[in-house]
Amino acid sequence: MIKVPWKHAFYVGGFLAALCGVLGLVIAGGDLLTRNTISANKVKKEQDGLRKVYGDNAEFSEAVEVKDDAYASIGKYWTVKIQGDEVGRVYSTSGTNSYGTVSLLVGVNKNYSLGNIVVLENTESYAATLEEKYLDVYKNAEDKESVVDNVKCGATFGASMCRDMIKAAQNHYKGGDAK
Amino acid sequence: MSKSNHKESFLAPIWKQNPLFVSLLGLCPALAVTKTLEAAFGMGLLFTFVLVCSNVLISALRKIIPEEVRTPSYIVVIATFVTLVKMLAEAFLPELYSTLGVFVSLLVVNCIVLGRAEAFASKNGVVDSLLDGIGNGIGYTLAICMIALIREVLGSGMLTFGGTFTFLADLNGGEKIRLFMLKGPGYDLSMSFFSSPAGGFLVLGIVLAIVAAVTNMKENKKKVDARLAAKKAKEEAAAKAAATSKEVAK
Repeated sequence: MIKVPWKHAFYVGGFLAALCGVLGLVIAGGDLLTRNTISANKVKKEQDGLRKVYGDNAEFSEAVEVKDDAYASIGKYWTVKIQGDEVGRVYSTSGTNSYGTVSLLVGVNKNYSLGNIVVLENTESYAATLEEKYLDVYKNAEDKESVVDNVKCGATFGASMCRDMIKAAQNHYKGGDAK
Repeated sequence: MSKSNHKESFLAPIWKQNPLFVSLLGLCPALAVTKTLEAAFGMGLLFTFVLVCSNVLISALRKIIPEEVRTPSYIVVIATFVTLVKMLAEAFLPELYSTLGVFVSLLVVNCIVLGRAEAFASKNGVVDSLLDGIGNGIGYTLAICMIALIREVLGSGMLTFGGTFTFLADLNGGEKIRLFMLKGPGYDLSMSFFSSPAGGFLVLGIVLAIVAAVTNMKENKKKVDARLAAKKAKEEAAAKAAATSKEVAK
């Protein structure tokens, strides 16, 4: 019969539990210390991003949450007015694939044509390639419609995800559920 | 442990046993985050923080960590400090955090951090482990900064500061600081190839070759000097023997 070294097993288990407990507390402390600053950074980045999509003259409505499974990538949107006239919307969209997460602010004009985008987050393992081959090309294009579908650009997975996010924003506006 | 050993723990990893150039460890971030000097320096800072903290804690706990769960314990400790450094970077250096992206999280599986925990911190005292962590951190930071410097200058023709550490741009009135080197009015000698991953491999290969050549040259010089000294000693001994035998003959 195998003799189980109970004393040693309890020691190993106890050590691991204590180590994880203490290190868990360290992480919790770090979270407490940084949580508010991270949230404030995100809000600031979002506000700066909105200005980059439609310029400094634009006024933005309160954010409207989108809770529709058909548009799962969309978190919320802002209606944009310039001198009192609605000119479009900015959608906050996010997508995740096996390489990481991309969050974008997507501008859609009132005539449903695509506007500028701003990258809020890009944690793809080939983030730079995705930006260079797809997102920057989109940003610099005069006619966004002509480049949005060009996903076979050297960063196909990320570009396909971004295309779906941009199209979801466009389709949501076309759907007109907030009009 | 003696003072000279403390000194050795600190100095050896900076050049003689550089984790990147000599041990060829941590190659993945060395290629991925060396597109700009600022990003490489930022990575070096975060790496040093994780390495020092994990080395110190593992060294302090080395006598009570059970043998069976040694590696899992190290990974838990390293993962904690990586999580901490990730949160701190996201809060206080958000541009650096977004530039480095997934490579901050990947520090958990960085072979230098785990390697130093296993090979050094688990066998040595806290002070030595601290010095080893700082030395390896500095060594790795210098190595990736050297690669980044070459890549950024050749790839973009200039050095840019303030994109990742935005306080530098704030100090410059909101404008990034640009030092034009291979680029200027009317000429552009930059080669964007060096900004690409292939360019990273090439630069790393060339730097490794130069480091190996310098090291070999030093070693060869030592060998040649030793051989010459031995030859001289032999000749002197022979002359002495000849003189003695002459005197005896007289």
